[in-house]
Amino acid sequence: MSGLLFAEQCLNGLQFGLMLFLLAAGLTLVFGIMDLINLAHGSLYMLGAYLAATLTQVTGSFLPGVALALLATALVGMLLEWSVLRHLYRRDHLSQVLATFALILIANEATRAIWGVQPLSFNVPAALSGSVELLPGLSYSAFRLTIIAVGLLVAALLYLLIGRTRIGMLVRAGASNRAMATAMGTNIQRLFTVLFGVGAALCALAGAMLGPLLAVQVGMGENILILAFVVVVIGGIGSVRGAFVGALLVGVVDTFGRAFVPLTLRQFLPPALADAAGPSLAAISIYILMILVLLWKPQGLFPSRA
Amino acid sequence: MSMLEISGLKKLFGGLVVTDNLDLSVAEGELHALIGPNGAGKTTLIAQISGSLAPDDGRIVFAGHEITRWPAYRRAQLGLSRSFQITSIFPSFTVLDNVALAIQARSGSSFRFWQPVKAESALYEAALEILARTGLDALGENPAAALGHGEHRQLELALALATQPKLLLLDEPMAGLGAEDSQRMVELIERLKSQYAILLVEHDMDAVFRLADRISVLMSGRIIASGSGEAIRSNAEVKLAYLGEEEIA
Amino acid sequence: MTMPTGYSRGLAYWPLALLALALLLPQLLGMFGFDFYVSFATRIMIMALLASSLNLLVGTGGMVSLGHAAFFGAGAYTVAILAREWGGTPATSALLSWPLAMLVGALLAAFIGAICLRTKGVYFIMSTLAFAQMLFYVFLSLKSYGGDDGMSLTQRSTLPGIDLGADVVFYYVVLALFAVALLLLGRLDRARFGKVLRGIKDNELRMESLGFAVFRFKLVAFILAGAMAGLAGALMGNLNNFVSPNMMHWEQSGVVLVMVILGGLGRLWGGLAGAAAMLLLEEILPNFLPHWQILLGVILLAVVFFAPRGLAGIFRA
Repeated sequence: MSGLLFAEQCLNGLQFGLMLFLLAAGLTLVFGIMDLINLAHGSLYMLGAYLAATLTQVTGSFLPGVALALLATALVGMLLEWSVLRHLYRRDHLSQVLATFALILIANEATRAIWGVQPLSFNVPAALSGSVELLPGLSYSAFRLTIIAVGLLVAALLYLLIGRTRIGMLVRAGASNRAMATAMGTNIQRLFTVLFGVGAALCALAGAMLGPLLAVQVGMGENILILAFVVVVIGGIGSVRGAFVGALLVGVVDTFGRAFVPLTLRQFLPPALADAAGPSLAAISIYILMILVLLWKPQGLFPSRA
Repeated sequence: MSMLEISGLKKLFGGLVVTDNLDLSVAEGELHALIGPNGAGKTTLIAQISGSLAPDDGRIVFAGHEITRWPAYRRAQLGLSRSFQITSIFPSFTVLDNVALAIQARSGSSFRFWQPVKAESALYEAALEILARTGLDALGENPAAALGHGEHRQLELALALATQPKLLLLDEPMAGLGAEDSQRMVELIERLKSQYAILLVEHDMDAVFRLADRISVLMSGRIIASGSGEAIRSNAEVKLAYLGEEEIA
Repeated sequence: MTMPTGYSRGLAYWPLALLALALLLPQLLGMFGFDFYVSFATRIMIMALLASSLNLLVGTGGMVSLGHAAFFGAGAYTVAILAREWGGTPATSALLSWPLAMLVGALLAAFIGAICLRTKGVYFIMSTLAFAQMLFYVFLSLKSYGGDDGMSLTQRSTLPGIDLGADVVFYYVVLALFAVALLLLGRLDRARFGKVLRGIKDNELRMESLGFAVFRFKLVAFILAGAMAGLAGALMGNLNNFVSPNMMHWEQSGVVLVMVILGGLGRLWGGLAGAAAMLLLEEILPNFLPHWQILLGVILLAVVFFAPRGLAGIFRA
C-alpha cells in the first residue's frame, strides 16, 4: 500500500521535475551565456499555456494545438529578444530586473485584455484521460505518463543538440566563457535569437503540458519562475545538465514534501495543526534543499565556470 | 630580524604541487625580488601570503605573529599590504577618495555613522601626502575610472602605501607599462626602498636587478636559487631554467 | 571632467521646500476636498521608508536582496500579534511596539544576513529570497494569526497624548519618522560607514586586502536595513489596520526592489522617488485606461532605456 503510494509519488515527482527542467534549461542558458536575468521567462510559460488552450479549442485537437502554440511562442520569444532583451545584455543585472519586471506587467495585462480575468479551461485530451496499469494495483494517469515521456524525449534531444552539434558547441563555449562567445563574431547575435526562440518553445511546451493539470491563469508564470530559478541555482548557472539534475531534485522533493510531510506530521501533532503546517513545511522544503546545496557547493552542483 | 618568514609552505591543486616546501624571508628594510617563469607558482604564493588562499602545510610568520590561517583583512591590519597585478581600485571614487578610504582602513574604527568623512582633515591630509609621494597630486579630484593605465598603476601603489604597511607585497607593478611609465615606477619604488620591507614579484628583469637587494628564483613551486643580483646572473641552474628567455642575459 | 567634492549650496534648499510641502499637504488636500489622499500620502512615505532601507543595501552596499519584505512583514506581525495577545495593555503603545518591531526586524536580519552574506551575486539574491519565502509560508500556516486570510487590528498603536487613529495625526507621525530616517541615511552615506559600503560595492576584494572586515560591515548594514524595514512594516500594519502573509511574499520584495531601481540606486532620494512614482502611477493610470498596467510597463521600460540612473538621477545632471 505505502509502497504503491511511494511509487506513484516518485512518478509525480519525475513528471513535475521534467516540466521544471523545460523551463530551467532555457533560463540557465540565457543566464549563463547572455548574462541576462530574465524574469519574463515565466510569462512565456503562461503565454504558451494560454495559446495551447486556445489553439486546441480552435483546431479541435490537442496535438496540432500544442504544436502551433510552440511555434507561436517561439516567434514571440524571438521577437522579444530582438526588440527588447538584446539591448539589455550589456546592462547591469538590476536594469535587467527592472526591464523584465516591466515585461511581466505588460504580459499579464495583455493576457487579461485578450483572454479575460477568468482562468481558462484546458482539459486533458480525451485519448489520454484514462489511466494505465503499470503494475498490479498501480494505475497511473496516461496523460502524466505522456508528460514524462515528452520530458525525457526533450531532455535527450537537448543532450544531443548541445553535446553533438556545432550550435551546441558554441552554446557550451558561451556558457563557460562569455567573452569567448562574444568574440566569436557576428553570428553570435543570430545564435542568441535562435537560442531564445528554443527556450521560449520549451516554456510553451511546459505550459501546454502542465496547463491541463494546473490552472491556466494570469500569475501562473511568476509562481513557477521562482521554482525555475531555484533549479538553476541548484544546478549551477549555465549548466543544462545541472538544470536537469536540479529540476528532478526539486520536483521530487516538492512532490514528496506535499505528499508525505502532512501525513508524517499527523502522527505527532493534532490533525488541525498538522493540516495547517503540512503544506507550508512542504513548500519550505525546496528552499531548504537549495540552501543546503549552496552550503555544500556555493556555485551549484555543476558549476560551468571555473 | 625578518619581517616575513615563510617555512615549509605547501599547496596542492588536485595532484599538482604548486607550492613545494617553500622557504622565503624578507628582512626589515630589504627589497627581496621574486622572479620565475610563467606557471612557476608566483600567483599562488602571493595569494597564500596575502590570505586569499589557504596553504595545505607550512607556516607564515609576519611581524612576530603566525598568520598562516588568518583572513586577509587581519593580515592587512597587521601591516601586510599588497598591490595587485591587475589594477584593483575603486572606480566610482575620486583618486583622493580612493586613498582616503585606504587610510581609513588603518586609522580608527569605520563603524562611524554620523560624522562626515570630509570633515576628517587628518584623513585627507594623509591622503594628499600619499598622492604627493606617488606623483598623483595633480589628479586628486579626478574620478579614478578616468585615469590612464600608468596612472592606474600609480594609484594601485598609492592604495598599498596608504595603509601604513610594514611590508609591501608588490605583484608585478610594471605590468603593461610603457618604457616611460616603467621608468617612473622604478624610481618610485626606489624611493620606497629601505622605508619598508618589500617583496617584489616582477617580470621586468632590468627593474628587478636595479632594485633588488636579494633575488629568489621560483621554479615549479620551489626556490631554486637565492642571492644577490650578481650571484643569480651567474647561477647555472637559473640560466638553464631561463634557457631561451633572453631577459636574464 | 571633475567631480564635486562638496555639496553645492543650491541643492540644500529643495529638501526644505519638499518638507514644507509635506507639512502643508493635509491642509492643501483638505482645501480641495481630497482628504482621502492623506492616507495615500502616508502610504507613499511608508513604502519610501521601506525602499530607502533596501536602497542602503542594494544601492550603497551592492547587496541585492530579494527577501527584504521578510523584515517588513515581521515588523507588521510584531505589532499585530502584540495587539492580539495583549490588547488594551501598554504592549500596544507605539513607544513599545514600534521599537520592538525594529528589534524583530534587526534580529531576523542578523540571522538571515549571517547566512546569506557568505554567498555572492545571484546566489545571494536567491538565498535571501529563500529565507523570506520560508517566513511567508510559516505565517501562511499560523491559523491562530489568520493564516492566509491575514489578521485585522482592532485599533492603531497608542501614543500618550496623541491620537494615532486620526489619519492626519498618523500622517505627521510617519512624516516625522521618515524625515529622521532620511536624515540618518544621508549622514551615514557621507560618514565612514557609508564610504566603506560604497567601497565594498565597488571592489570587495580590495576592501579586504586594505584591512576592512567586509563581512562585518555588510552584516551591520543588513541589520540596520532590517530594523528600518521592520519599522516600515509596523507603520503599514497600523495604516491598514491589517497584516497578511502577502506583505512578505517575494513579489512584495520584488516590487520594493523595482521602486529602488526606478527611483535611483544609491541615491538618498531614490527610495522616495521610486515609491512615489510607482504608487502615483498605480493610482492615476487606472482612471484613464482600462489596461493601465501595460502603460506602466512601458513607462518602466522607458526608464531603463532613457534614464538608466533612475528618476533621482535625472535631477542631478
